[in-house]
Order: sequence, then structure tokens, then C-alpha cells
Amino acid sequence: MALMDKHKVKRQRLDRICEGIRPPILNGPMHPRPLVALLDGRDCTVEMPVLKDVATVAFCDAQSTQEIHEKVLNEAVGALMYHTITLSRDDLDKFKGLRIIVRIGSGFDNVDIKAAAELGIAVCNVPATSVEETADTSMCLILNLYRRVTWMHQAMREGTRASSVEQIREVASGAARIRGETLGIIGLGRVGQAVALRAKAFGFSVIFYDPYLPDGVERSLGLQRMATLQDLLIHSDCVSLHCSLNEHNHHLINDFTIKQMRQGAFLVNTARGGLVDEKALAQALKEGRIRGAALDVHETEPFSFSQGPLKDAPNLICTPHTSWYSEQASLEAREEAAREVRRAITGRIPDSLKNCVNKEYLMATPQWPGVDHGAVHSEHNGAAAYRFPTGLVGVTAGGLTGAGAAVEGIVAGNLAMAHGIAPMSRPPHTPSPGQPSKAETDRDMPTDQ
Amino acid sequence: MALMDKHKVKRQRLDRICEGIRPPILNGPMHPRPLVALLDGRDCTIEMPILKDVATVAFCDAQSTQEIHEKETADTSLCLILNLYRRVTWMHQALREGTRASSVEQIREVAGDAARIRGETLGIIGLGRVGQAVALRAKAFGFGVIFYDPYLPDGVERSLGLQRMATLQDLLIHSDCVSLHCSLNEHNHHLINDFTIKQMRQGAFLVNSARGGLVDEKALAQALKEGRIRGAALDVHETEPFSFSQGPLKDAPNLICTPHTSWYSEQASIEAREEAAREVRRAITGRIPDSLKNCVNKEYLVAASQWPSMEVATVHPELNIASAYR
Repeated sequence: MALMDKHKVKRQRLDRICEGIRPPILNGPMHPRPLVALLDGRDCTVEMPVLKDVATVAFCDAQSTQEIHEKVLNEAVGALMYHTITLSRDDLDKFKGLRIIVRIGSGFDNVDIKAAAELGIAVCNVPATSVEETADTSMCLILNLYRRVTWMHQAMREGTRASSVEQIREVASGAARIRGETLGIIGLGRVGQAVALRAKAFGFSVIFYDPYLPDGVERSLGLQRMATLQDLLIHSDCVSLHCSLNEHNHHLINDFTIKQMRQGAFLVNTARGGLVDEKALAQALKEGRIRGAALDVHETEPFSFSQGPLKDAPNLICTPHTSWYSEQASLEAREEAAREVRRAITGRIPDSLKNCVNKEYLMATPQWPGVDHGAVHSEHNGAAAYRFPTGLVGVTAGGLTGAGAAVEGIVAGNLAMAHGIAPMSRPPHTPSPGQPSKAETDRDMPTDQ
Repeated sequence: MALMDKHKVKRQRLDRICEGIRPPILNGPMHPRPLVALLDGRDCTIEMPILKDVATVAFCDAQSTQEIHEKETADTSLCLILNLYRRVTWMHQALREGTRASSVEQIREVAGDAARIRGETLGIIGLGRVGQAVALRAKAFGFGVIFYDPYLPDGVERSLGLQRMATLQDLLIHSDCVSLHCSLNEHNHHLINDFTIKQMRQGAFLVNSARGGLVDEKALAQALKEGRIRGAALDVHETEPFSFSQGPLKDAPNLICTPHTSWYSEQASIEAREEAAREVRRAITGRIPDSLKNCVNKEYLVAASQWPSMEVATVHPELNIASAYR
């Protein structure tokens, strides 16, 4: 009976293979010198030394998958990426041999990690390198709102002079005392905790809301926990966002929730632009319901003061998604990302990975139910050969032209996507990043049919 | 002999009175409704309720000095330091001027020198109330904090867990960011000058929310242009009101300036004014300097001997001339 079932599963698999559906095969055989591509950047100088003996490294400098060269889509086994490119389900489908994606940074809302898992692609991030940079910048933004340094410097640049005390009070008008104010932190992860501890040194009372944390964290750090978002908003003089963006919290700060905030509160966002409805924020700033906002991230990036809903909003401080950046943090993140790719290539996915964010989805995706992993390999020779669509020869022993220590830049022009993979039918799934999202009530794990 | 000396002193005093020099007479008689003047402002609304039953309050709106409220100044100092390290002010300015940063490489370029703070050394010159507040806040960010203060007694550093440097030079040599929190006196004008700047680390930061006279702006401008100082944030200047279009700092790069506002918050301003009015009230209704809370020249006042070994009661009748002169 067991043998018949095994054969039945195998037949189903081969049928699907012939239909053009790539099975998720973890740890199947890999080219001896796989292709690793930096998708949305040009500079691979930091990654090269870490990877050059196990992979060929290329860069795409693309802002969308349309700009990625067909060769990379077909052959790349590993991808490195920042936050400036989005990989939706459809984007991920374009890659034929991808097994590992590493985000050089902590946020991964721009990758559909569940779709990736279904396709057998592990997604990793680098969560720790910019924790203090982000926390320090968040405090800097908070202080700029309270002490108004940035706006006063701007006024000075524009020629304002303040001779008498009354004129000084006028220029500094709105500058508020910090001691006794309440800072409300949404999301008490690594960055949220670092901000909380810094804020306490200034005399802020710190409260937080985080529905994912277990009980008791607040007691370790001496913070007050709020049970609901509304509770936090009602009690905060300054609200700071430190949560990741997911399918549940798009436009967390919107017209309705802003009205729950205190009259004249401050808002700070160094997390993700999608958390804040900028139209609602602009309206609140104009009416003074929010006294000032400092944003490092925006709904549309790159941000420009001359465009978008915040165009005419007063009392705004904006920076171009730089809160994470210091030279050391950048180097550390790139090295760690390259090392994660290396672990994926030389080890096992996901066991060898340090920061795999879709591990549970990867493992849940059934492959050969009840089949011994060792036995899987030999039966997979057919599948492995299939891995590259007919018409494209597998990567040659020499690798790509200019391979070896050289970095090849593959920048695409307009590409016709000319492979015959039929669109897959999938079970209902959560919306991919970059697509309009609806609230998903049904949280089933995606399964293969 | 003693009586002759007494008369000699008294004669000297009366001579000086007739010359028009006011003698220092503590707790002499006072007009029942003395005049109290706000020298360099116009608004007396806070002071009035506290003083109106014991004094006449007037304003002069002349140009002179400010006062500092310590927590506000400390918070602003940290804001200035963070703006130098994280470059928020300059990046906001760049965005205002139309810069766009799409790719990560462009982001890295706009962010320029934005530096990691943990492990950096902050050198505080003057560990008074503001300096201490700055030190404790800075520690929360991972700064190693050192200070130089020739006036503090031994041991303060041990209470706060800071490292004390014996000389200014020691502090300058070991600091990545130098922040001034000392008052200006006859000894430390242009404390930061061409010579001392050359003792600072290459590419160090400078922050001044204390007094403009502590820094030689010509030397600072030169150091900023040559990159010896990577950036400076100044709330106070040699000439105030400060203007970017005038003075030695006119063309200096990497500068953040605010118009002497580090002390200001609405609450601090009100509190300071109330406290000042209360101090004047104490002076009018009580004894100088005993009833005063924050007399800064107490030692000089008492030392200036007036009527040595004479009782206060006998002083009074002879002073009627003086009080009328007042």
C-alpha cells in the first residue's frame, strides 16, 4: 500500500512538472558555482570577498523585475536585495532557479514570503545591524519635534533674525519641555526597546503597544504596556512607530486612529511608510490636531516635498529613508547578508540559515509526504534536469562570461518574457506586497494541490 | 584710635556719596514701593502678580543677557549632537531643496557621513547641572563620556560613572565630539581657538549651547572649511542675533545654528520668570543677601566691608541722605 501511494505521489509530481509547475525542492542539487544577483543595487564590493569562491556574483541595479535580465531570472540561485524593489508572487514566478533571497536590512514587507515559500525559496533578513542607528535617529527626530532645532536652523538659513527675548520666544514657539511627557511606542521589538531606554533618559514616561509580545516584557524594562492601540493613542503625547508592515497594519495611523490621538500630539515614523495614511496625516497637520510629524519613511519613495499628499502640510520633518544608515551598519549588513547566502549555498535550507523569515511556511509546504529525504534525491534526477526550462541549457561549467572573480553587471533592457510556464493555480493567499491589500480573515497555510 | 578710624571711614563714605558713587549698603531703608525694572524685555505679565503689591514693575526692552534652564538646554544639546551624528537637519534641508534619493547608493550619498554613535567619546567641558544632564542622556546612546571641569571637587565623576580628564588638552585629544557647558568668565574667552582646535581629533564635532564667547568663530570657520572639524552645532554665537549671511561663519560648511533657544520651552520660560520675580520680591521684603536664593555675587557683597563693627541700627539715621540719593 505504501509503495503504491509513493508511486501515486510521484506520478502527480511528474504530471505537475510537465504542466510546468516547479516543485519546491529544498536542498536539491545545485550548480557548483551558482549565480547570486544583487537585484536593486550596483555595488557588490563588500559581498564579493565573502562569496567569490562559492558563487558568481552579479548586479542588476533594477527597480522592478521588468528591468532584470532574463539570464538572471533564469539562472539566479541566490538574490540579494534592499527595500527599493518589490517581489510579489508574480515577480517571484519569473525566477526559475531561485532558492534563497536575502534582504540586506530588517524589513521584508516588500517580498511575498509565503509565495516564496510555496516556490521553495527561503527568505532571510539581517535584523540586527541597524538597531541602534534607527533608535538614535528616532530619538533625534523626537528631539527635533520637541526642541525644534531643524525648523529653527531652517528659519535661520532663510534669514530670520531673533534679537530680543520675545523674538526668540516667537522663533522657538512650540518648543516644549520633555520631562513628564508620554512617549507611546507601537511595536516593542529591538528598535522599540532601544528607543524606550533612550527616551527614559530624557524623562519621558514610556508606554507601548505590541500585540505579539508575550506577557512580562514590560516588567523587565520598566515600561507600561497598553492593551489596545486606542489606549496607547489616548495616553501619548508623542507616538513613535517601530513595528514591521504586514497584511494587518497597513494605514494603522489613519483618519479614525488619528482622532483617538491627543490634540497636538507628535508622530514619528522610522518603520514603514505604509503604516501611515498620508492624506489623513496632512489633514491633521493642517488643522493642528497633530502638532508636528517626523517621517523617515513614506508611502511613496523616494519622497519629495513637492509631490504627494504631504505637499502643503506644515510642521513636517522628513528624511529619505536613512535612519538605518551608518557606514559601519551598512558594511555589517552587507557582510552578514553575503554570509547568509553562503550558508544557503554550502549548507542546508533552512537549517543552516540564521535569519530565515519564512521557515514555517517552507517546512509546511509538503513535498513528498512520508517519503524519505534520501530516497527523494535519486528520484529527483528527472526533476533536477527539468529545473531549467527546455531551450535553455543548464549553466555551463565555465559559468557566465567574465565569471570568476569578476563582477558582471547584467542590466536588462526591455525583455520579452518568453518561457512557457503556465500560470499556476494557487489556493487563496494573502495579497502580495505592492498590490492593494484586503483584510484576510482566513489564515490557512497555503498548501499544494 | 578706633573712633578716629571709624570717622575716617565714614568721611570717605560721605565723600564718595557726594561724588555720586553709591555705597554698597545692605539692607538699608528702601522706598515703600521700589521700582523693579525688566531690563531687556517688554512682557511683564508673569512677574506682575508676584510683585505688584510690593513694587512698581517696569520694562526697558534693552539688549542684554539670557538665562538658562538646565533640562531644556540638555535636551537641546543632545538634539544638536544627534543632528551632527545622524544628519537629520541637513537631510531635511536637502529634501526641502529638492534632492531625491531613489536607490540605496543615492541614500548612502545623501546620508553622507552619518555615523554610528556607540563607542564614540563625548567630551563635556563644564560638568555643572546642564553638563551632568547631558552626560547621563548621552550614556543612554552608548557614548563614552569624559569631562573636564577645573572647578569641581574630587569624586563627582565616581558618582556618575564618568571619566574625568585633568586638562583641557587631555579632553580634546580623547573626544570625538566636544560639547561646551561652562559659563563664560574672564579666564575662558575663546577657549576653543586655533591652538586648541588643533588639539582636537581630526574630524571631530563641536557643540556649543553655553556662550558664544567661548569659541573663536574665525578659527572654527577655518577648521570647518579644512575638514579638521567635521561639523559644528551652535546655539550661541559671538555676535547675536546670529545670521548665516554675516560674520566669520558666513561661508563655513557643515554648520547647524539656532538662535539662542536651547533654554526655551514655554513651561521653562514661565517658571524662570516666576522664580525671578519671586527672588526680587524676596529682596524687597527681606534681607540681602540672606533672603536670596540664588545670589551669585554673595561672597563679593559681604566682603566689601561697609561700616566695620557698626550696628545696623546706628547706620540707619545717617543713611537718609543715601536713601534719598538712591
